[in-house]
Amino acid sequence: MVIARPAFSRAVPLLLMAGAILLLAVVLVSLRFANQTRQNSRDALEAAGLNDRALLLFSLVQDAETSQRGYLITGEEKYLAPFKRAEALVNLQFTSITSDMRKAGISDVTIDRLKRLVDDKLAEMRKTIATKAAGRDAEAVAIVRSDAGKMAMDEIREIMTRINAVTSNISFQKGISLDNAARWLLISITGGAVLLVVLVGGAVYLAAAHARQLEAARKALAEHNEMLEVRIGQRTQFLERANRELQSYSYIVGHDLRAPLVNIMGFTSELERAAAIFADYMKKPPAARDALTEKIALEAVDVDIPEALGFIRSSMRRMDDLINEILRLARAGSRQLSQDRLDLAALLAETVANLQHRLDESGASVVLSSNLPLVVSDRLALQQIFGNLFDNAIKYADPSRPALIHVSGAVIDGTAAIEVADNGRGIAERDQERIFELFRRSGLQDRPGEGIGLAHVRALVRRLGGDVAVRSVLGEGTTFTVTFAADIRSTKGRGET
Amino acid sequence: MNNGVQPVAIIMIEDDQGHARLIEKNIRRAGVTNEIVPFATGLTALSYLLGPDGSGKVHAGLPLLILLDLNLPDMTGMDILARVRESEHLRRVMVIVLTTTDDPAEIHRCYDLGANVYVAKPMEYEKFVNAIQQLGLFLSVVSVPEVP
Repeated sequence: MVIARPAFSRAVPLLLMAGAILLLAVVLVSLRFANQTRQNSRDALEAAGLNDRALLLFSLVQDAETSQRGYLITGEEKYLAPFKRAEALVNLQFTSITSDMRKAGISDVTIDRLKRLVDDKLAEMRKTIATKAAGRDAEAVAIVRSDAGKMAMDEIREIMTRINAVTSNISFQKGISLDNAARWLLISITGGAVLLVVLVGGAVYLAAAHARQLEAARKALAEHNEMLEVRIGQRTQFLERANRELQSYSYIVGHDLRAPLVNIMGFTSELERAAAIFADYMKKPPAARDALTEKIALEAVDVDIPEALGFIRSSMRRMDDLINEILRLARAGSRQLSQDRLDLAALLAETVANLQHRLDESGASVVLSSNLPLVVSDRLALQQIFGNLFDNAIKYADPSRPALIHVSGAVIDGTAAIEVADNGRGIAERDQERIFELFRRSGLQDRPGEGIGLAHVRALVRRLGGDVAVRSVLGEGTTFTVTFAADIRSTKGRGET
Repeated sequence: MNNGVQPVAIIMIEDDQGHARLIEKNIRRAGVTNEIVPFATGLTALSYLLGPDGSGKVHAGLPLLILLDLNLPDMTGMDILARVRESEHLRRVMVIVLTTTDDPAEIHRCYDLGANVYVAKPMEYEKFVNAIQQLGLFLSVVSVPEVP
């Protein structure tokens, strides 16, 4: 019975722990890539924003220039509004993008240059507007014509183009990084998901395996319990049977040994009585003896005394016989059994050969089945068992027909079952248990016997780990079924006698 | 005896010849002169009692008394007792059980099956003689019912 492989069950939490750590690592890596993605996209957005604001600055300057030109041409104040707005905002706008330009990698020289150019351009425009306002139109046009403003404007435009190129480049590179980071993020998330599926699958599998093992263990335990109960039941049966046998044994000893004792006691007293009668007669003077007393005395000597002695002697012989039989049975129960490899066909043929003269005398025959099994058991015990059964079949044959004894058998589930069937006189149903008891016989008492054979058979068969049963129809025949362990080594420690 | 028409026949079913002889001697000594019919096995006794038709009708009109040993080789005395009590003609026959045990359970079973008297064969011969002779006296005073 396997409840759980210990190494396996220890490995389960370790594997789960390792999986959890790996998952945590994947989450951390994903976080890192997510952060990179965020950073890159912010950088790209910032670069784009810088470009926009630089263009806004440039458009302010352009607005200012357009406004200056309009005023110079028309001399109307209303054209100056965009210039005034640009003049107010340009510095603010410039300051707001200075740090971003530095961050984008635009050199301080370029920034200073741009600042000066924007300042110069504004100064030039302010000067022309002031000159025009003073009414010196030709002087204002001459300032424009000096091309100082145009050159500043061209250079500003060039710097703006450079800023645009720089920010575009940054945007492009950040875009590539963003794409990369996003791809890695995707990969790590996919990996995490796969890992998660594997982990959850593994955990479910382990839990299921564990549950299966528990179920199997529970089942095995239940089976074991059941087996134990069956075994206890069997043992209890054996014990009850042994107890019953012991009771019937003591009953038999009580009854059968007492019977001759009662005789011995009784006839001893009869002997005394007869002796006293004869002694009385002898003591009488011859004159006092009459015919009657002489007859009584003679009867005591001739009849009573020999009869009493005869009964005492036969009772003592009977007691001796009984004690010998009881001892023989007890010895059969304690004899060391051997473990012989036996071919039952050969063994039974030998047993039949030993009875050959009795078979010939009575005209009986024994038919052995051709497929008798091989067993490992005690040779002598088996010979005695089957010898007794054959002997009974010959002895209690039906006088109207010659005895025919069929022997067949097989091994089923480690138990050899041999049937000895005869066509004899049969046994009445009420006697079918009694015949196995010591000193008990059944039916017509016309054959010599002590009522020992079947008691002996039963004691021997039980020692071989089996039992003997009988079924019979009066006047038709009797079948004894002898079962015993096909391999006697399997009954060791069963505690049977 | 005291029914004056037919003397009671005593059927003695006892397998031990020694016991049978002792019982007979002591009954005779007690002054009982009735015929004693001995049987050593249950089967012979039953076939005599029940007759060829198995009903016990052969003994109709005859007073009977059965002395029964429980411990027979071919069947138990209980079986004989039960068969006698089953028979329409024999069921009121007086049955005296004689046996070597004084096991109370066995005595009860005998009475349950319809034994009239139960006498244990005691080991002390004096008691045995006494019991048998009392039985003889008992036989000489009781009125034994006739087999119907």
